[in-house]
Parts: sequence; C-alpha cells; structure tokens
Amino acid sequence: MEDNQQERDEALIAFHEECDIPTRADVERWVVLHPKFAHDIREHAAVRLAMLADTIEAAVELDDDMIARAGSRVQAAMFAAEAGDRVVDATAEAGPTLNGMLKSAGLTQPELARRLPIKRVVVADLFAGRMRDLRPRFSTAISRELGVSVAAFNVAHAHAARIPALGGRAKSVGQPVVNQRTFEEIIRSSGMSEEEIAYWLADV
Amino acid sequence: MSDADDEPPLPGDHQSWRLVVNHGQLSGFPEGVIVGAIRANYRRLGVDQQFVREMIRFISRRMLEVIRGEISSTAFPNQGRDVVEDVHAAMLDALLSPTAADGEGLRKWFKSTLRTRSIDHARKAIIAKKRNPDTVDDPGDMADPQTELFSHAEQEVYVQRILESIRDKDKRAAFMLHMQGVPCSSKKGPSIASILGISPDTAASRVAAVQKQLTKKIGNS
Repeated sequence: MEDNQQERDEALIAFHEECDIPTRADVERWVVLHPKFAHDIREHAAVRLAMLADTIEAAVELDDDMIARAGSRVQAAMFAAEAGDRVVDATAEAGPTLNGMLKSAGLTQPELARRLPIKRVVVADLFAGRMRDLRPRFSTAISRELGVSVAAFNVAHAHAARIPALGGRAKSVGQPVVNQRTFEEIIRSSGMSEEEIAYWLADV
Repeated sequence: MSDADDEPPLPGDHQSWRLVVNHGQLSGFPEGVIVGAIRANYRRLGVDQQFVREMIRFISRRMLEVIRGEISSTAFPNQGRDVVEDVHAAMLDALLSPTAADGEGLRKWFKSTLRTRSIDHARKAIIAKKRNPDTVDDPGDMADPQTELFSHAEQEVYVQRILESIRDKDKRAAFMLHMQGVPCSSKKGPSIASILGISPDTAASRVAAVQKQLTKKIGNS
C-alpha cells in the first residue's frame, strides 16, 4: 500500500515536472506510461488547467496576514520537531537505551520475542527504531519482560525512534531512506496468524 | 564567502552554509539545494542551529509563494487560503522530518512536489464542493463526482479561458493546436506548421513564447 502510494506520487511529480501546462497529448502519453495511475494523471491535469485558468485571470499575491500566519506555523513546526530532541537530550543521561534494558534483563532479541510471544521481526523493528505508534498492550508486555516501567520503556523507545538504524535499507542510488512504519503496519506484515494479529492490535 | 553564482556548498558543509546565510545570499541558490542543506544540518549534533532555522524560514516563505500560485483564489471559500495553509503545513512537516518522502521530493523536485500536493488538496476540496449540489457550477454536461472531477465541457472551458488570455492571434492559434495535442511538426500527419502554413521553427517558437508568457503571468508558481 505504502509502495503503491510512493509509486503514484513519483509518477505524478514526474508528470508535473515534464508537463508544466499539460496538453491532451501529454495526458494520453503519461496514461500509457502509467496505466495504473491513469485516473490520477487525468484529474491532476484537469485541476492544473482549472487552477491555471483562474490564476491567469485573477492573479493572487500573498497578504500580510498569510505571511504572518505562515511565520507562526514555521516557528511552531520547528518547536515541535526540536521538542523531541530536548526530551531525548534530557533522558539520554538519565535513562538506559532499549538495548541497555535488554542486556540488564539478561535477554537477547530472539529470546524476548519468544517470551511475548511475537515474531522476531517485530522486536527487531522496535529495537532498530523503525516502529512508531505503539499500542499499549505491546508496550506493557515488553516493559514487563524487560523489568522496567512503561514510562521508562516509552522514553527509551522515543530515543530509538529518534535515531533509527538504516539496517539493510540503504539504496544504491540517492540518499538512504529510513522506512519507519506504524506498529499496526509491522504487525500486519509480520506473517503472524489472524488471531495473533487481532490480539496485538486489540485495545487493552 | 564565494559568490552565489558559484557552485553551491555541499549539503553537509554547514560552515559554508552559515556564511551564505550571514551574507544574505540564500536567494541565489536553487530551492532544492537549500532544502538539501536544511535536511543535512537540521538538528545535527554540533551544528549551530540558528542559521539552519533561518534557511527553514526562507524556504517556508518560498513554499508559501509557490503554493499560493498553484491554488485558485476564486474556486474555493476564503480565497483558497485554507487550502494553501493546509498544503503549507503538510509540506513544512515533511521538510523537517528526516524520513518523509515529500521532504526528499522537495530536495529533488521542489516546485513539482509542491504542485502535486497542492493539486491533491485542491482535488479534495473540489470533490467536497461538487458533492454539495448548491455549489456545482457545470457549464455543460454534468460530471459525475463519483467518477470524474470535471466534465469534458468544463475542461474545454478552462483551456478556452487560458487561450483567451493570449492577445497575439497567431500565437494563440498555435497554442490552441498545441493544447489539442497537435505536434509542431510531423511527417506522418497534420502539424501546427502544416495547418497554419508556417515553418516548424516558427510553430515551436510561438508555442514556447506563449508558455513563457503564461509562466510570467502566474508569477512564482
């Protein structure tokens, strides 16, 4: 699903990159190139022409209010992004990492996975910082096995997610991209039975 | 600090980028290059963050200008401000996220990534508008909001309006054929050159002139 979305986005961005003012011939050519996204390409071309027609007739300029609001938005976005760093900085000295907790509990990742029990790939993604939006049932179970409080586990997880490992996902072209997924996505693609998946995704 | 016309510093060369910011030279570099520098240095340990934040504010303003140019001020309530602000907020998040695909998109294809996301948001707003029968404005055959955004007649009207903004009749005629998908020159069938009785070079030159004129009219987008 995620790959399909990325493929769709790449096709549309490439379409707009090449066809500034799309003609019928452009649209048909791109539809042949990307039949899977024919509907998106046609609609993007139509919206582009509609917006262009309006913009040519009634040119719009930024007003002071919009500029001020955008200024506030960028400050808030930076504050939010950096708030994570402040938490991590404060806890880095105070609390152990996930791997530290695992070591203190005298466990390895495969052993922890067997105890839960859950697929190893789920535990591996957690420790590599590639997991977000954890569910309470999972956090509680992991904390119990590691012998730490849920709060301490959450802090250690936040730290791991802040500096995720690339793990074998580096690409031969372009910059390496970390593929962070939600807990639900990881559980659903883990290969566990429907019953096990339902258990881990159920609300506590 | 070297002149902004020179090769830009490498993305991770934070000392050079700090000088670029201090000398007020950011506007001399392509937006995508600046996005690359932001993504390489933002929240990076040991790097002074003041100049990085300055680059973020600069790019945020450029994003706002581009998005404003992509969204009609007449098709949506509140002059399209809500749509513009939604896109801007989403793209800011992507810019600041080290893992967001759109953040990387901004680095590689700054304007096309913003256009794609602007159209995605505009499309949603248009669908919502079309589902409300009181606000449907269809000049000909009705578009089915479940399957298509604009009817064929509506699309023709948009193209016609774009064409009407071109004052030069010769250029307008060439561009009209271009929008219909007729090539500038062709050995196999009709072309703009053969239909209008002009040389292929003249046909191509007229189409290019209109494209340039339209780009100028719509300013920053």
